[in-house]
Amino acid sequence: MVSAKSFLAKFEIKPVVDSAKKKKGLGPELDLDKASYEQFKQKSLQKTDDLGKYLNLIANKSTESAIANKAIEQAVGLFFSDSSLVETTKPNGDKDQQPIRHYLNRLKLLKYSKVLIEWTDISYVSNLRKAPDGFYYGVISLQQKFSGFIDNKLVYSDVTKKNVEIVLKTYKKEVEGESVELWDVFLNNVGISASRN
Amino acid sequence: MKKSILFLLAIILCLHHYTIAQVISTPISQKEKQDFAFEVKTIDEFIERFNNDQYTLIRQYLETNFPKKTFTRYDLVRTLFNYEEPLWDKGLAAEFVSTICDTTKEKFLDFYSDTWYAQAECLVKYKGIPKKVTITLQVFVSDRTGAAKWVVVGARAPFLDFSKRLDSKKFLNPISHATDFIGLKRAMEDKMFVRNYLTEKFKESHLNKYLAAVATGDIVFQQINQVTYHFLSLDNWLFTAKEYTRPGRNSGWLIQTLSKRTNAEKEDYKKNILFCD
Repeated sequence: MVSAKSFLAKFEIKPVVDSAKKKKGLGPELDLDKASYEQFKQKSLQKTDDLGKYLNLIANKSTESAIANKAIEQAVGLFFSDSSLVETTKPNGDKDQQPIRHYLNRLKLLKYSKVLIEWTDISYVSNLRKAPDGFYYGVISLQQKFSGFIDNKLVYSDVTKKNVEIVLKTYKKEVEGESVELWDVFLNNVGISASRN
Repeated sequence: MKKSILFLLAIILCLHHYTIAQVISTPISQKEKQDFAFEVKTIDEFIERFNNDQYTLIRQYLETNFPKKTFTRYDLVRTLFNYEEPLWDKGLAAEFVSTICDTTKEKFLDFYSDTWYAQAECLVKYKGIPKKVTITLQVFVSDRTGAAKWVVVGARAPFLDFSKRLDSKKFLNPISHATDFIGLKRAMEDKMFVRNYLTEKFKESHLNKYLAAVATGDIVFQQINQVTYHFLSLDNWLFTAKEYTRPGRNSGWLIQTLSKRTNAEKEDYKKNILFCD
């Protein structure tokens, strides 16, 4: 966990207006300085990395059911709540939304024998915005190519843009008898954009 | 780490495709990577570029890949227009860019302003039949906490409109009270001419009608088909932005329309286009 003192604590009492934005007469924008922005970005990417490992287990044909179930629990734990949604597209183009747990359970049943991915090393991370629940919300946009194989045959491939909501949550913890404010990043709703097959 | 991230996102995709067809795999090209860097990926990024903010992805990308070139705010704002079959006038766009980038009185967009709107074209089922509804949203900021949220400020479901037909022969006569308004039952059943029986000051609230239909279960929300943003915050100007999902650098959230509007015209726009009650 990262200490909130590093950059978030200053936002907890009163939002800090970025000086450049203040000059422009805008606000209350919760911009981070470059170092804090990188810190938040890395932490967010780390969370998605963790989830990727769990998904790997869930999707793998050779994973035992009990282990896959445990991976589902751990993957859900990376999300802001059980009600975080994943947007999907049906073959007829209609969109659908599924709560993360339901989504992962379905994932367990749909197993590619092999998955190959290529991606750009470019990702957009937005500013953080404070919401009424006291947490900070941002979004990460990524571009990826997905290739799915069954019995070594490529059966599906596309390039898409993903928008993943990120929630930054603060909490207090007793450390050596002292209450310390910490923060962590959680994944939230996942939206999809048009894909190129 | 990034490999895993993309794996995660790829897995998400797996579920979207129930029918599987064999295709040929081609890697993401250098051009596609570059296109993604230039694409305006969210409306947040649109506002960042418009305002020429620091530490943005596009600035980072340009500084890395074009170190010898200098990019001004003027350059960035010009990239925010849709250049394929544009619905805006060239001369007007040039004037707009010059005006907002005038260093003596620069104009910026504020995410937390109450003078821009998101308008979502939605698909619903009304009594089981697919229909389109437009819902308008706005950012609300708490003065006390600085916290922000999107709130619904308008809706338009044309299929719920009351009939506007008038007939001078249809009214409750001035002696109706004497019969305890015996004609009221017939008036309330006369759906096509219901306006004849209403005050001339009657104003329809599209949002109320929509919410009433949702409450009774007559309307069931299906999905959002498209979102358009309407920016009314800049003096004398009004523009809309929509997402253009296509290959090329000129993609993502771009200016769709641009026009000059007075404050009075903007008020009409809010009422007639954005359906704000």
